[in-house]
Amino acid sequence: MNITQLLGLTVRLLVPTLLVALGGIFSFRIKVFPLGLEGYMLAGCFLAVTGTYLFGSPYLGMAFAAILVMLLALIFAFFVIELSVNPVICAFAINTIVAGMTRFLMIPVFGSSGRIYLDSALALPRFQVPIIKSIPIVADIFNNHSALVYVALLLPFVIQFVYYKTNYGLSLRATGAYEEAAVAVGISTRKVRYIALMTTGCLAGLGGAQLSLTANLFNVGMTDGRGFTALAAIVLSAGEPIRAFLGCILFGLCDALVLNLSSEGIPIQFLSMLPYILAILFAVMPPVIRKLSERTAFSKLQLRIRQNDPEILASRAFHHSVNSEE
Amino acid sequence: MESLVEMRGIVKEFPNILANDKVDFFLDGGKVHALVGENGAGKTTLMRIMFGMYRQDEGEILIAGKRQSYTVAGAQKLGIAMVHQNFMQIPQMSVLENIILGHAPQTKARGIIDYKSARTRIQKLLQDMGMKLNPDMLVQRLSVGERQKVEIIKALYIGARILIFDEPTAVLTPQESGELFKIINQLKSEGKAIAYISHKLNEVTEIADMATVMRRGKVVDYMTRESGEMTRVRLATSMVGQDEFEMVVSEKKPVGAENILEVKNLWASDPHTQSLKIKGLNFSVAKGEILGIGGVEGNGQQELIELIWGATKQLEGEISLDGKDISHTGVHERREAGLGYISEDRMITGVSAEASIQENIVGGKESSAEFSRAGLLRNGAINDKTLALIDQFDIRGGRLNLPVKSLSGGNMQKVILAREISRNPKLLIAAHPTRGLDIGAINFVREQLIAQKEKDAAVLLITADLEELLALSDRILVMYEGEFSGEVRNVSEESIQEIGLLMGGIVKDAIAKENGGKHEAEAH
Ligand SMILES: Nc1ncnc2c1ncn2[C@@H]1O[C@H](COP(=O)(O)OP(=O)(O)OP(=O)(O)O)[C@@H](O)[C@H]1O
Ligand SMILES: [Mg+2]
Repeated sequence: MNITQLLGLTVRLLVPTLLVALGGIFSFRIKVFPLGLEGYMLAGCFLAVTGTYLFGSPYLGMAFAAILVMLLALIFAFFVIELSVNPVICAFAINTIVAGMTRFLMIPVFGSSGRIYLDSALALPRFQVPIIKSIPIVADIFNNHSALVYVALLLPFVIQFVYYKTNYGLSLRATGAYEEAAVAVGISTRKVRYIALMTTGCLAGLGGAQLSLTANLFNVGMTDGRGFTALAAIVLSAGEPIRAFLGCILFGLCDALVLNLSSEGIPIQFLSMLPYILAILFAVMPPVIRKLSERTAFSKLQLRIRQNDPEILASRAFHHSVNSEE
Repeated sequence: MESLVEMRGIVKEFPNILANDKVDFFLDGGKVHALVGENGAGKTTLMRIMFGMYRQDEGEILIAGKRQSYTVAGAQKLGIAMVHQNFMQIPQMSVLENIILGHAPQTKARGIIDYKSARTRIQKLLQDMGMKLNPDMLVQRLSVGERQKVEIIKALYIGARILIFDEPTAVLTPQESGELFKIINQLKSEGKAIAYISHKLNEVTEIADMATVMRRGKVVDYMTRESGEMTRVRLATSMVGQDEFEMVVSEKKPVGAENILEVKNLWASDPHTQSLKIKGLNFSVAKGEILGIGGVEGNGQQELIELIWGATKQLEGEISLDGKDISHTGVHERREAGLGYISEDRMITGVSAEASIQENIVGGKESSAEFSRAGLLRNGAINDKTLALIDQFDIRGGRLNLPVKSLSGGNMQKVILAREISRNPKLLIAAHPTRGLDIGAINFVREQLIAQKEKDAAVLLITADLEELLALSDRILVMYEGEFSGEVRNVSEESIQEIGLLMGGIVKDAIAKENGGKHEAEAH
């Protein structure tokens, strides 16, 4: 496989995680740690396949997933905001319930268990994008994807705009940073929080839908930790959409490499660890580097003082007037 | 004339305490109405009711003659704004964003902020008020005085005609306070109605047109400037309910010979910028001495406290307490060695706001024999001790299991005092110990510090308040840019001028010249 094919695969693989991560950022920003992303995503996978199967259209399936997961998030929001239930506990409940329910509902809905395939007629249509398709290399990477891929690639920039240029974004950042101050200027932080938590559900649901509909199947537990990968991207980006995008590209690239290299005989277990090792490195490196450089600067300054560096002594203006009395 | 705001018979009860008991209060356009009273008298509560943050249990509020009932959002529509005791600002956001927060102008496309028109309006307001502020600066980079200006512009931005100031100068340097008064006078001339809470009576007599005095939830006195009744003596006496009132001043003593704290050649830098903050300090505090450290805030006082306290690490130098080198020990060891600390930031390092009074009192000492046995807390002993201290330190509104955050500002400070003083420290660091306290409480704190000195403890007093520095210190060191610009040994009323000069980094000519000479010799 050549590099352009690898990048094309990366784009396809990163999109579900990206949607989930972008959704999670909304919660993260109001200081509700989005541990329920995995559950939302899995629910999205299942509901998208169900909706597509019931309504006979992948787009309706997608909408079905987005709306229902958003309602699931509404329930979560109600528990967290109105009943002050601990969001971590609530998120674990969601993850557990969704894992159980998707498994349980397969039999009544589809009459089979474990894995179901959708009719290939219901596959997501892929697009030939006018200009892009005729540019060499670029076409291999960006052409011939489904609609949501293009939406997802633009979304980080849209969300960046929402955060920094709109009224809602300003209120959202304020609510997250210092809720009392937001209340004091008359912002309805309750509304802001509901909208943020529901947006998380909606986007995470779409991310799940993209995952299952591109594969045209649903598989028990098919998200396989992608919700947590998204969480890693959120934490690494400190809630900044464009940085989260970069994180997701990195994880997507790792995934693509795994798929690629495993066919060439490199142990897959080792490769699957790669994204997580990278995540940890990226999370740990900046503070370690900063600490180290602060430490060296400290020692340097210390040495200069001990050696009576003239420049340092000259920075004092009064020293002798007080010292002479001592 | 009809008042712009009229509060009639306001009653507000918190669990176990009647914070406002049938209070009447009013504000007129173009007038400053001061509200004074002891800590916990109910001033902040009354103003929060006016601002819509709390709802009164009884009584009514008339705005321009019309009965109104509102929340914070409603108050802003009515043109009421409050400059809070703790600023309601978002440090990570810019000045501009903080100002437009909640009231952002929008472009034709709804929901999108019109930053351009916001910027124009803010720039005009800043210009009108003669303030120099960069709208794009992050609020966390601003000084306290600048943050207060942001708060005022915030109020003007929403078109407020009624402004409430809750202890605005408590955290300001004298220069900044001067600027604030100019601003308040300008607001007054524009016809705004201003409520002004303060414990500093000279400020009240300087800028207020009328004053209401509260005590234990009730209005006890009212006076106007016009009638000539508004004097410091009258304010002070009706505040504390005594006929005579005098501030406590400590008797000066010559400095003793035995040193408790010794600091030698101390250097420190800012860990992020590497700039030097403390430049080779040498000093000591003797047994039974109150050493005052004066200076304009931000000249290294905070850094010095943190070094002595053990919160940060020095580049070089030695700190010893009662003959023991503590330069390389942690906070806990230093406390055990006899260091007490009344911190300046009561909400962050002073108390644990969510925890109860007794938890705050035993905190850090919970494993001593006094408070625990075999790893279990002796709750009986802890409660007894707490009740005794509430009584001894007159912590108004204090009771067992009450989270400290629901005490009034001044009473929170008393919790810290009670904890630190009851541990009999050898050296007590007191950083701005009376900030935000009423005069009765200030006297109380001063007496406590003097009692420490008389018990032969050493006291290191850091304060930006000159009056306090002079009243308490046996000796004064003035800090300027990380050094001592000078020392005042025989402290008296007359020292004030010398200290003022030293605060500006000006040493008397002769000394300066001599210094310059020596200085060059050493550098080369
Ligand atoms: N949210 C609250 N819950 C319970 N009690 C409260 C609350 N707010 C204030 N109190 C109590 O009401 C009384 C009045 O408090 P308030 O803050 O109005 O005093 P203050 O006059 O502003 O005092 P200070 O000068 O110390 O700021 C205090 O005893 C305080 O403990
Ligand atoms: Mg108050």
